[in-house]
Amino acid sequence: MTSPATIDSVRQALDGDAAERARLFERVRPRLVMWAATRMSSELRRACEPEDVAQEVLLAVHRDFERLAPRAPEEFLPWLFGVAENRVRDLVDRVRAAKRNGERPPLTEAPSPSSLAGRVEDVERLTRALATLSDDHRLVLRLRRFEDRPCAEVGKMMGRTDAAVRVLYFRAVAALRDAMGEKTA
Amino acid sequence: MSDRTTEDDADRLLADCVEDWHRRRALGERPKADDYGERVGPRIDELRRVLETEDRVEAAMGEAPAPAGQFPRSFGDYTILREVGRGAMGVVYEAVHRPLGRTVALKVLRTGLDTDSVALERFRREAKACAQVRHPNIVEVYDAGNVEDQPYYSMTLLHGRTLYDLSASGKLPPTPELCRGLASIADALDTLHRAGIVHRDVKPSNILVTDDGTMVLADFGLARTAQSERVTSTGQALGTPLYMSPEQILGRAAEIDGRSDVYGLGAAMYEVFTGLPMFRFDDVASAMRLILKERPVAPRVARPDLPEAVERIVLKCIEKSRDDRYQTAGALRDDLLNLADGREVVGRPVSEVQHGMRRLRRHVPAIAASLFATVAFGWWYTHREATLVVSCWPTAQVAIDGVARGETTVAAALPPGRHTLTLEQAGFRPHTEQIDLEPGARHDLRQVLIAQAGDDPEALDRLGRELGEAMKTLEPLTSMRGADEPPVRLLWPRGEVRAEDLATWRVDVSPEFEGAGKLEFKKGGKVIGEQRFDPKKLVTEEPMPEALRASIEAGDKVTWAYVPEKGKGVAAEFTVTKKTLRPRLEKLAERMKEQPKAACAHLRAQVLLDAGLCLAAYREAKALTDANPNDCRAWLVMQHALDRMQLRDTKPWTDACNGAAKAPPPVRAARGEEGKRGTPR
Repeated sequence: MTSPATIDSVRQALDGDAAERARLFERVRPRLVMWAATRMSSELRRACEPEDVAQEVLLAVHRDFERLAPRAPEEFLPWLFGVAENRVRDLVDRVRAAKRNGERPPLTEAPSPSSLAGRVEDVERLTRALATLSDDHRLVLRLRRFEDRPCAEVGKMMGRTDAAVRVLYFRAVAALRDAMGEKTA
Repeated sequence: MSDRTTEDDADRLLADCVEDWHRRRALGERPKADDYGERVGPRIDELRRVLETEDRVEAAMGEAPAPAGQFPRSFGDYTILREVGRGAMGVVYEAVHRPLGRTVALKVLRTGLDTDSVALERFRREAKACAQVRHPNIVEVYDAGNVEDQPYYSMTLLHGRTLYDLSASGKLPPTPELCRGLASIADALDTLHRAGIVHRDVKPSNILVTDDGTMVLADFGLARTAQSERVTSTGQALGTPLYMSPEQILGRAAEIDGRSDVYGLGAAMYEVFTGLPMFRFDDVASAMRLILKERPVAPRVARPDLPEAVERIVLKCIEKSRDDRYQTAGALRDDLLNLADGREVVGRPVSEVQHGMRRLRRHVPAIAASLFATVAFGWWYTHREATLVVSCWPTAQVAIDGVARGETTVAAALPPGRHTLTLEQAGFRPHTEQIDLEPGARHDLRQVLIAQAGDDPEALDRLGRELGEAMKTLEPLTSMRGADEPPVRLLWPRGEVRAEDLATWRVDVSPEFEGAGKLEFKKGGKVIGEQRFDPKKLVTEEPMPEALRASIEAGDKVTWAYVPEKGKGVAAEFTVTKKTLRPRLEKLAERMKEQPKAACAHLRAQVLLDAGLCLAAYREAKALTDANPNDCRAWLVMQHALDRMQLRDTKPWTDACNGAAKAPPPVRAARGEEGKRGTPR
């Protein structure tokens, strides 16, 4: 489901300079924010925002890109979400540690990204709505929509058939729509 | 998440649509919720809202797909450079295979909702069939596989145009060269046949002519090896009816062999050499009738300057009985080369006299004993025999005197006297009828089953579905266009003019009428009104001019004509009277009450079947043909009109009937008025 334009953007970033990379990271940022909304447990959500998680991930990606990013454009998103997964786990550990010690969660300080400005409102609304969905719906949206995994693979990960994943995905989007509707009402 | 089976089933359809939507987006298309309207029916709103949400997610991600056709993009090991063609089954791209740096033609199956296992199987078979045979005139397959559930295969990228394009644009090579090219295709077919593969879909658009003039056979979607299992067991019609041999259109799988391809190539050659398709038809029933029973206009009637040898080869290929054709594609190749090199052509089509004799032998075996008697009696007899036309539903089996005659529509030449007609169709009582035939008479029996179905809503429903299926099969045919031949279209535009319930009216004009113009209404040669017409809108819904309305009300004959602004004068004329139509409509409306949708469909079909418009066109074209047997355009019009008298689109009528309960009635009430076709100037 990755759009050809994103793949092209990845290819340019792989071949290109720092500016190309920055463009790519800004491009995937909203996807990461929404991904984070589906990935974060309620515990983590109490401690920080999906935007913070996305920022953490992008900083890590930025640091490792030169050295660790795969050379094939198609492998970029799986790698990105591998990194993201690690960051989330790390963050959970840090949040728990901070909680034990009665501190504020230790997040990297970073300025709010400007490129989101135009569509920031919709990303925010979607992100809020995503966070309210059931675990199953969040999981299927995360794997299928944001991580771009084929239905069959999602099925294996969730212990469901291909067709069941499709139906679940459809219902998840319908639930997302409803959640958004309640927000606007 | 509770899994309730019924809900699962109900949601599955929508879920599949969402999946399809994603796939098509990934291919660079811009599918809309309404594309799935027919499939999901009443739940379209739900689907629309879900897809809107998907759109928002995508927009929020800032990854809305590039507009369709943005390249390059990546596809597995390939980088797709541009789209070169698009068909019902797949899209063909020019692509670079990155590991080898080779530029190829990449064919990707459009997977999604419309992809069933049959399409998938056909696609795989296509790749396989190509790969099995090596021949300079068969496209070479390099690689096949799947990328993200999208099956593909790559093959030689050829630069050129299809034989269809060349033929349509009048850029064919000179006859000897053309014959050599066609001989190379026959040779390719011969190689295929020896490998046990029948192509089954030989047609001008499947023959590529490369820039250096080489002809290459492509598109093996229908090819079948002797071993491969049957994919057509569901009764799916394979191939383009226009080039289908009788055994193919009858679905007699066991009889389909290399000689079916010989027929296909013959039909293709007919079209290439004459510039006209062999037959014209609008629906399956008429396609069957023409392909099974009728001989096409002789090529040299259509194109008098054609060498006689060409005609002989073509006619030999398209013999109805495969035993009469060239027995191998190799034999056809040899004869084409004979022709190209100016040698004597060997093939001899079965002559008219022989055909007549066979018919005779079938009907009166006893007399066949004596040759003299046969000929003498035959002459008298064939002129005396009666014709029985049975038109019913495409799938009803017709038997006359216990002998199966195939499926309707059937036109049978029978000895005069009493005959027993039996119609059988799954889900219906067999219908048996005694018919007395007068010598030389024509006896028409139409819509037998429909009359019977009239009492049974279930049967009507079934018929309705069949009709729907038939119409679907039709679609590619109706969009099929012959080479440049405006006179035929002008005589027989696709547009229809209907006097409706006289309160509102609507004129559909065929897209062939490209320019704006006006509609002129005349009574007794005098213009009584006119109206502007913008063909881009395709319909006009302005109120009917008062004078016209009054004339029709009064039962007068009114002619209306479409007068384009540019170009020649009147392009088409129709005459309409209210008289014959009105009582019929009233009668139908009476019967419509409380009837299911399907009933409306059938009754509309009946109205159309009798439509005076078709009849008038037929009569007129017949008169022209009688006056000048070489006027092949008139002949084509005649065939077309005949075909039009078969099943037609019933939607407007159904819509009208469905809306009839609500007031006011919809614009499209009915058509089929007594009409008379004017001549083009």
